[in-house]
Amino acid sequence: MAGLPKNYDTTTVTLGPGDVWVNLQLPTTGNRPTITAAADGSLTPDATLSASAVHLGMTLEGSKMMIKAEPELYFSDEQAAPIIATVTAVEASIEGTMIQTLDTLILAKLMLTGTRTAGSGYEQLTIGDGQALTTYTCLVIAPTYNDTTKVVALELYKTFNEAGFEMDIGRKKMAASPFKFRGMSIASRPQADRIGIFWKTIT
Amino acid sequence: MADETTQPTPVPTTGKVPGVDEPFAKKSFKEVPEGIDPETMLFHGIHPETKERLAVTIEGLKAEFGDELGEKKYLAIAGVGHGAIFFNPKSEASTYRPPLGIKDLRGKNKAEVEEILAAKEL
Repeated sequence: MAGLPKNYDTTTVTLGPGDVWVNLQLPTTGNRPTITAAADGSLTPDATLSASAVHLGMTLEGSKMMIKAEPELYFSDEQAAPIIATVTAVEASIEGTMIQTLDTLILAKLMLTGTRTAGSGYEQLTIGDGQALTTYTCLVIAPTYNDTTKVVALELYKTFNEAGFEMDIGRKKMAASPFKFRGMSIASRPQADRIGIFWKTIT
Repeated sequence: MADETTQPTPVPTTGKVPGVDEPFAKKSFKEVPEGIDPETMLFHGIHPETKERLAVTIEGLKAEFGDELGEKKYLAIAGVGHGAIFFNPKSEASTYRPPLGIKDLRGKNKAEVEEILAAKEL
């Protein structure tokens, strides 16, 4: 009999900055959003397919993707360990702290009830109190450490910023606002593809 | 005594200097409606070189077909395949209107979208 080989593989370790995009292309079920090289060579959402996308710009300490299924455990009186476990909730989010706080295109995505208008000499956001919130797709994408022509990415299909907008104005502190785009479920899509898609490119 | 040099008299300019005499203003705000690329002047989602429609956006369809018909077309395209391809607008109670990548559509779904885009009314 032979032992199994260990899976020590540094090409599957990643490190390095990424980018957050909002309101990019919603792909068809089973497909990924189209990623294209920008003028500087970096990989971004395609300018034609994601024409309305907004880049969140620089962040304070990068961004964090989170996907967490919450299991519910069921016990019997006769067994000490759970005999059934089911998923009752799935949490997914993309979060971080953005610093380009004067970019009104970004702020319009962070303020759930904000409406942006721009004209000669000004850009503004009016803050409403409507009940309906606006939702967007959200993507975090990063080149892989092993091969910068490849990416690792997570797109959440339907999100809203649950962190609100908070901005410091002070002499010794750079203005920054946290964001947390919470993934929602699109009920009409197939069950296995309702919240988002995580992928890495290989070739 | 050295020759006196004369300073040239400033010529008053008639035009205003952007950023000094008047605020900067992007042309796109004034002249290009939302949904049209200010560089290519093509509707959002249409490839600038091949002219192929690869995606639809609510702004692009409104700019192309008018507000009412553009929105109807967007909602009809979003709901192809009873919402299993993108999403069902009837069951998403929000202003959710992401750009829809239609380039991956195949078969009857692709034909259905082409029919919706070609329709003069819905």
